[in-house]
Amino acid sequence: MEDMIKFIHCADIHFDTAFSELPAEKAAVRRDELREVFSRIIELCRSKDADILLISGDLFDGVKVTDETVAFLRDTFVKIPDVQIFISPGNHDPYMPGSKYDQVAFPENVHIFTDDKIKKISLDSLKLNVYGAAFTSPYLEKSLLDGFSLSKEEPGGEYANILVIHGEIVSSVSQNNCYNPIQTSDIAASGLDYIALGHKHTYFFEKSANTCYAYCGSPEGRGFDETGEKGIIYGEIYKNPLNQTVVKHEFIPCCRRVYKEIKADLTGCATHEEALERINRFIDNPDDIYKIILCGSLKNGFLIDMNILRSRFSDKCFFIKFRNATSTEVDLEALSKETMLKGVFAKRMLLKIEEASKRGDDKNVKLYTDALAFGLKAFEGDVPYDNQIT
Amino acid sequence: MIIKSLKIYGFGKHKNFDIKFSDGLNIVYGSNEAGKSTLQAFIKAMFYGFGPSKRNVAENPRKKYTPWNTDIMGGEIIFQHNSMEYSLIRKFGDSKSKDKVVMSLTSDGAPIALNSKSEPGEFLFNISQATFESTLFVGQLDSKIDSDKAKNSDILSKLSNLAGTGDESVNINFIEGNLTRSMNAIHSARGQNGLADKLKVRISQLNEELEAFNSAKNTSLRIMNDLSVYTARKESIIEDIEKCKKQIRAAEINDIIQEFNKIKEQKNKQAVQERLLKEVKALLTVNGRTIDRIFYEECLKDFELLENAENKLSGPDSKLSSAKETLSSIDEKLSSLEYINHFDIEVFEELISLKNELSRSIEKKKNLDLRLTDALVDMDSKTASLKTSAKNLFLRILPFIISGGLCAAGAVLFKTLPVPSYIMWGSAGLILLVLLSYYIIKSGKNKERKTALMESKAEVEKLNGMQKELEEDIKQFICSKSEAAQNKIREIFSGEDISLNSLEHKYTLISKHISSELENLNCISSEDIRNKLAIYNSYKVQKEEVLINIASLSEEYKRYEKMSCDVTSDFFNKYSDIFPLASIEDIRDGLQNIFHNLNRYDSLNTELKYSNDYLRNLLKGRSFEELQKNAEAYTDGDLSGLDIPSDPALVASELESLEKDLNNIKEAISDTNVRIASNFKFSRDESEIISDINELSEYSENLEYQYNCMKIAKDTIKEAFEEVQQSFGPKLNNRASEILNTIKPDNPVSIKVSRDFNITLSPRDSLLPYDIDYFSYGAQDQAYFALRMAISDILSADFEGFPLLLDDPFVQYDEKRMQYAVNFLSEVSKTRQVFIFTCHKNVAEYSGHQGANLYEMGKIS
Repeated sequence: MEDMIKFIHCADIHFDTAFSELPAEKAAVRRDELREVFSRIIELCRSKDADILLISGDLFDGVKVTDETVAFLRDTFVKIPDVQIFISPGNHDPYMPGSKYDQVAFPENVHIFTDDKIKKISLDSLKLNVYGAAFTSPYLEKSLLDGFSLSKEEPGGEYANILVIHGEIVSSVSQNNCYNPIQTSDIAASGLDYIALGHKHTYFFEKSANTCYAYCGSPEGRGFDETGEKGIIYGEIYKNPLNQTVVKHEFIPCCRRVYKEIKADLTGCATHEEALERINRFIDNPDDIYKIILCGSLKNGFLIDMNILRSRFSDKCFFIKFRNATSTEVDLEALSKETMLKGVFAKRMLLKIEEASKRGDDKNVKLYTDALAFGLKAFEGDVPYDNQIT
Repeated sequence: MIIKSLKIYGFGKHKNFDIKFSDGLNIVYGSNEAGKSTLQAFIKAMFYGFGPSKRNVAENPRKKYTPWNTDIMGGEIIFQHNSMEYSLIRKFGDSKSKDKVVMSLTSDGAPIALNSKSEPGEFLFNISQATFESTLFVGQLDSKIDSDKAKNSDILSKLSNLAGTGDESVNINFIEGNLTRSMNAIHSARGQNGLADKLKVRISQLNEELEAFNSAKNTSLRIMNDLSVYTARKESIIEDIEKCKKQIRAAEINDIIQEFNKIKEQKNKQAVQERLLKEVKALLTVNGRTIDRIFYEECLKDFELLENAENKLSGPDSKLSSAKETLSSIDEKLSSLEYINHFDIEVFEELISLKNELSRSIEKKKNLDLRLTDALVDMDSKTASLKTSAKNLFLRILPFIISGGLCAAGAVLFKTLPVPSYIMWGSAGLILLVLLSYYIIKSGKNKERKTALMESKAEVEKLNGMQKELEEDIKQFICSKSEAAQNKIREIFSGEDISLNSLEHKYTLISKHISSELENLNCISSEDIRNKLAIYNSYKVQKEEVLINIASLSEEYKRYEKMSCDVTSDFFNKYSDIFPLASIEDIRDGLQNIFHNLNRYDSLNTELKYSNDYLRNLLKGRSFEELQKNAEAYTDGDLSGLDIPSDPALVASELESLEKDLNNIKEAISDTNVRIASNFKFSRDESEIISDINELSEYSENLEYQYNCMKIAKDTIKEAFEEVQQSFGPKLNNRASEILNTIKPDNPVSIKVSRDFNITLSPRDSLLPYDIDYFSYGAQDQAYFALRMAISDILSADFEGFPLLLDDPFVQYDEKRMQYAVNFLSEVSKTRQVFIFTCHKNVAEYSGHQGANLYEMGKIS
């Protein structure tokens, strides 16, 4: 299509993230991988023949940005001179005196919005107006979009209108939010064709009135609160035969690794072998980063030793951590046949369990049952506990 | 329970191995590695299976006893329990869950359903594996009590464990130690190095970080609030500055526009003046001749001459006009009375007299007609009376005549009738005749009536004669009139002759004519007509006089007229192009116009001169076009939007002040930005910190939970241990002492296990107990046996009848003590089946002598 505008929308890359959850050497690898992912985005701009690249804030994780990252970005932007790049600084990398945006001379194809009011840059060759605004401090209590309407600015006419901005969609202004709280009613009233949002790290696409708005999410997960595939949005804007502006979009995963949080139900497992076999089913990609929440009811007083799990899985994926939320079933009938100390201990615990059960105190039923399992384990040897690496 | 036989398909070194046992004491004898322990393990595994698999073969019996040369691992036990004989077949799999266990009655092969969770041993005898192992299954004490202290300490620890927990492998310290280690790993004794302690510190740090973050955030928000106030102030100042600048500019533009408008107005005024001057000049130019003041003065003099001549002519002219007007007036009056002059008053008056005569005659005729009418009425009355009288008489007598006739006829007709009848008829006729005579007499009166009638007829004729006379008189009257009058009368009567009958008609005609004539003449009477005729004649005389006067005045006018013509001719010859055929008044108006235009011309000329000077002053050497271009550039729109200050100097002063304010506020903003930047030092926002706190808190809670579990377990184990100590300890001490004295009667001692697990032996001759360390290893071994047997004995009440299995229990015994022990077991075998697995021939032989059933391995297939 002759007048089609192709764009790539990315956000929340958070260069130089600390990755403090990971061991130092793996954190360094992850920081490098953020650059690798950004290179993939640049490569997508090329392969998709994109006209513009929209970066909706939080390009950097904080005000402290390494020289390596700045040099990398400058070199990378130079590689796509025909792509016009628009950056709206976010709450992590606000445009402030002394910030990198203020200090670094980026190539000519890079346009950085520096004002905390919406400004317009027109690309006549594309018949496109790109609007944007910046966080000029870490917080913005009032929506930058408040009161903005295309008709107030100037009639759109033949031009498509895109806004690139960092902020949080809120249902009402009463929500206490100081990260540019944008209301959907303001979006509907804006008259824009597409709003490229940043801040939320999960992909989201919606339409309000005639305005499409989307969070592309972060292109690379940075913790277990950012699980799942991460990527960018590739979009196309064009006029249909009725002269209406159409926005087509596609979410394209481009992350290097995926954070996965998995609940592994170990119900019925009575040995580490069985538990390991069960957990192993979930480790489907050695490149990914796993958090396995062990749950379910183990059998015959079996207690999981986290050291064993860690040693068995340490080389099966990039990083893995466990949370032990299992409970243990004990063989009450067998216990009733125990004599001497074990038998007396079991009988005392069973009495406590029974009393709690009679009271309907499920919490203590579980507590005493698990205490019984721990106690029985003590008859055999070491008592395992949830000794994760923190 | 009695084990009747075993059939091993494959277990350890045994394959297709069969053996049958008897009640009581059974001795299985064989050399080392003959498979005695394997057999023992087989019995245990058949009833309890194997525990959790371990990697180490030594600790993993399933691996240890996997047969080397057959695929099948398992076997069958035939046993008797509660007078019933059962078959228990077990085939071992890779794990406990894969074991296949079938139990049935041997009598009819009926399968016995086992609880899936329970092993047959537990199911049938209600004895757990652990209990079985710690009571009825006395494993091989492979320690020869010699100088090996390690072995010795093992025995001692087992003794201690047995005494403390009833389980030789379980030590309360071991149990508590296991729990304490993990608990300490969670919470260290000093409360610093435990995992939960560290977590607590880390969470506390995170909370501090969050607090610091929020504090910084609040500070930032406060600073930002300041910033927004500054920014708003800055924007307001910028707005005010812009406003001032606009006002100043507006004032400048206004000055330019106002000046231009003034010049433009002056220029327009000048143009109007020029146009008017041009128009006036055009008015003062006639046929190419310019009228100036000199020309005007000369023309004015000539006009005065002309005016004088006209004034002289006007005297006779007005008199002549007056006379002509008088003549015209008289002519009008004469004309209005001209009709009178032609009216024949004589004839008219004769007609009036005729009208009067006719009126009189009509009156006369009316009298005659009345009299004649009366006479005729009288005559008619009399004639009618006469006729009526005759008729009445006839009608009266007619009945008499008829009656008389009838009577006569009757008398004739009825002559034949008796007399009375004709007499009656005759009488009647007679009466009738009398009456007839009366009426005939009466009719004699009509003669008078006839005379009166004749007189009336004579009167009528007289009156008729008088009417004819009247008619003749009228005709005579008309004939007495003049010929003209008679003609007029005929005309009026349309030629008809006059008669008495048409008198009124003729009167009407003549009256109408007279009225019509009077109306035509607008007169009321003939006298009135005669007066108007007199007036007419007097007008005729006046006219003659006026005509004479007019003739005289005309002569005088002609003289002055010639004089005026000459002067006029001269004037128009000179000024015909300016006043063509104009009247005196027109010329006077024209001259006044010329005078007015000359004055206007001079005045406009002066004004224009002043205008030029004024415009030159306004332009100050600039061109109008240049100024116009400037002004139009500013007023492309209109000026209404301009905020023009009343005092531009005040605005300029205000602008200066605002610019100072702006610089100050910019400095304040710059400082605030520096404060914000210095306050923004967190790479993570609150959601990330909170996420970490939640994650660690969740972990910490889990650890605390596990710690609590361990603590509860530990406390409960401690309580259980106390209970075991209190209930089991004394009983155990007594029974163990009894057994020990049975197997060691030559040197009786009592055994005691203290609460702190110290085992002491008290010889009878000694008052003080001695720590078991002071005794020989053989004595220690016997003490162990006694404790095991005591525990077995004490607990056997709970699992009556289950066989007792002993693996070479008398290794450290001398011959005599071995015999005591066998004797003891022989006694025991009376209540339960006893198996002794031994490699010692003397044990086998002695037991055999004591009636035990002996099975020698190697001889059994």
